[in-house]
Amino acid sequence: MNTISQAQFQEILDQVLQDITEKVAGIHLCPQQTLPSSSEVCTLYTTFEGGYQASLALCAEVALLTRLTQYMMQEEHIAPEDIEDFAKEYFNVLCGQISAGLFNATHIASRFGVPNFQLGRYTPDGSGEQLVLNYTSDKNENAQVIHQAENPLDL
Amino acid sequence: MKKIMVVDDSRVVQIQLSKILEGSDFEIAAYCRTGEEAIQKYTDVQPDLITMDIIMPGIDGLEAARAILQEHPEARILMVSSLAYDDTMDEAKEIGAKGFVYKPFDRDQILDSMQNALNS
Repeated sequence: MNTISQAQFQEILDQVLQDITEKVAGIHLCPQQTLPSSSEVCTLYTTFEGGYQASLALCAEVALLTRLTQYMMQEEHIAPEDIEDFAKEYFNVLCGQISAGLFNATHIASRFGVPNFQLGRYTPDGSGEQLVLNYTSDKNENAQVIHQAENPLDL
Repeated sequence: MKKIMVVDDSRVVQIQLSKILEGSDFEIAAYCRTGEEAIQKYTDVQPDLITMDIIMPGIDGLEAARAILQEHPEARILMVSSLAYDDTMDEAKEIGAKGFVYKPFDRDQILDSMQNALNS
């Protein structure tokens, strides 16, 4: 099996995001149709290579990433650089699990680059089909996942 | 005390492993942020076990493991990565890694896998 529909891919992405966020950060993310605009946000992003070429970005409110870092470090007082490091590791785990989910569904092996972190909202360049998923946490912090595939998912 | 060399570009893993290994029979003898650094430091550190990430800047963890094992066939390497699928695990096994731990890991998983890698 080496095909996957957009709906199946969305299910993998959604499942991984919710499961991993709960597991590593104790934060429950709830899917939303739309999100209010947020001012203080950070973006994590990377590209997938190999049999599957795409970019993935996670734009999240700083408050959400702060809470994630505090939970992962088990410390109340954290430094701004801690947020960057822990958010990158969290995103690294998300990407690995997405690669694993894709492989299990399609037998297409893919790798991804070292995650990048940027203050503010950032959308990677690309011309492929875009999938956007919105989430709100149990404390009303917002996050948005933007996936852009360079090659079609239906192979 | 068994000497561990942690190879991971994320200091998060270093922090997590330091906490997990407190009071255990393992100590972190060296910390490397790239595969190249691990290859360079191996001879000096002579670790009992290496924990090796895969996605890192420069050469990836599988290439680094291959290079270390070619030069030091006695090296014991435990892959620790979020790339948890058959293809990657098969490659790690083929290279000669002693085990594979998925991220995110918990205390028991990593300690058991480290012990198994040393005993295998």
